[in-house]
Amino acid sequence: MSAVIETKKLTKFYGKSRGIVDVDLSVNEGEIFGFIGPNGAGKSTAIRTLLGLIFKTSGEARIFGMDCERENERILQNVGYLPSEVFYYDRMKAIELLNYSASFYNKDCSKRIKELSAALELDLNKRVEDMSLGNKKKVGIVQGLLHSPRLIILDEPTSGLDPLMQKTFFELIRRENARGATVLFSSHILSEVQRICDRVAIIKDGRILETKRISELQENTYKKVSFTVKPEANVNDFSVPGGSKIEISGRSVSFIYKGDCNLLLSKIGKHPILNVDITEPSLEEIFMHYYEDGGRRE
Amino acid sequence: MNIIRRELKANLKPFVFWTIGLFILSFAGMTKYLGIGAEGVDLNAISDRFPRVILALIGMTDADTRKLAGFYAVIAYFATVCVSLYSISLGFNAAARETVDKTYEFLFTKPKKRSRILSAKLGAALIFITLFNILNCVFPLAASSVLGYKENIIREVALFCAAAYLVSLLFFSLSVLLSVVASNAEKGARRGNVLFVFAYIMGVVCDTFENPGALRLFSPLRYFTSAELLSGRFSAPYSALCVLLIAACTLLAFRFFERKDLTAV
Repeated sequence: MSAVIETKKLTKFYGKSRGIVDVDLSVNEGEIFGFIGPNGAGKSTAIRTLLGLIFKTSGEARIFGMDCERENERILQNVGYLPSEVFYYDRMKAIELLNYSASFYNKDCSKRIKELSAALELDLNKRVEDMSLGNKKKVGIVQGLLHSPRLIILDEPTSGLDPLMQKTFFELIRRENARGATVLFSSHILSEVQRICDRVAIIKDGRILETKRISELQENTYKKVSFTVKPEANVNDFSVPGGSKIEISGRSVSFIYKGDCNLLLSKIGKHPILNVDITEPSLEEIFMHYYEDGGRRE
Repeated sequence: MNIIRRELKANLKPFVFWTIGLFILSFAGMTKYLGIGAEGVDLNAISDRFPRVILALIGMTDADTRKLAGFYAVIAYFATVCVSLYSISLGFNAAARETVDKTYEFLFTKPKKRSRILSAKLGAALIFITLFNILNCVFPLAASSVLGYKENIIREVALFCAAAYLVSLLFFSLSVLLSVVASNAEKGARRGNVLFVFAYIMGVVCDTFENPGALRLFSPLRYFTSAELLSGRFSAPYSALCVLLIAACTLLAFRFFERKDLTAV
């Protein structure tokens, strides 16, 4: 499978301030790739470097095998971008803005504009300045997709959309993906990434901590364990190799566990158990675990 | 073409406002001459009583206001200030408006080279500057005709307007360069305004001397003086300097813009 996005040791500093450091990314053709990290982790910096809005300090960034700086114009012919915050020319109506956006591509986008606006229930004759944040976001989605791009880059795309519209949006993205589009989906809302992505890169302090398949992240690697002991028992000194984020509250213990399940059960079994719960942790919890580890994996 | 069309549409309203201002300045100014002539007031005699620095502030140091051409020279000075300020604002808008309004993430992620986007924006601004300068030429002539002045000032108006055009283009290119080079767009706008105030003050300083010499270099507003233009001389060295500076600033602006990190203010 060929890589649509490929970065090698991509680094960006704003003067002395860190943006991203040694970012290695490889997004394959046809996949929905999640990019998760908290605000300030470097997600938008990486995206803006890929789009040529800002220039790298060092390293390499390629889209469709072309250099993001030297061949930016050719790359952008086939890229649709939805920024985290949408700002448009206020005095324009939505349809005027979308036609203006379409005028940059050598194709007739009028049918797509109608289809996408209908799907998102967007009033095309309304002025952008009179629109709510959610509706402005819809304009952003349509302008990002109207030219049927091969690569769709979404930076925190669902902010401002109500849950019903989020559902429609995800369906739209899946449809674009089924059409063959590759999607880079940046978010700090992990359930969103979990919902739609095939693989995910976790970024912290400008560095990629790990890139994994969503399923791998959730597969037996981590367990969320909680148990409660009988009143007479004492669990204040509970510990288990492979356990982290151990929280002891009275007679209840909860932690994230990675390791041999037999060892876990024998450790817990030493206590007079009243109740035990072993579940798959949510991506949020896995994610927090990464942060607390400072990214030191394996 | 799509960018030029949008820019023309977006900048039309300010153009209309500036045009109204220029119209009022030209017509009201030219009408004053009618009043002064009717009342038999000798402005030269009055202005002789003022310190030279005060006359320099209002561009009256070397104009014979008893004649229509001399009187027009004073109006032309303020018109030059007007077209220069307008050009500075257009320069800032062309180079930095998208980052100030945060629309840059829309425009600069379209498949167009940055240099072509900037060219289109500068082209649209240039259309407005040229139109504004044509009106700067038309208004005083129209006023002169409407008010029935017998003196022919076509040559003087043409020379003053040509000078204003060159000076406004210089301020425009300086404003573009300063806006592009500044890390922060607001800072770029501030620098453009500071540059104009500096040029204006230097112009006043020049006028306080009989022979300012090299000081003129620091004030584009004095590259073409009223005395020279009224005597039919259009300074070739300063014209060449203007053209050179305009070319250099524009080239540098393109160079910096190609490698500029576009981020919100």
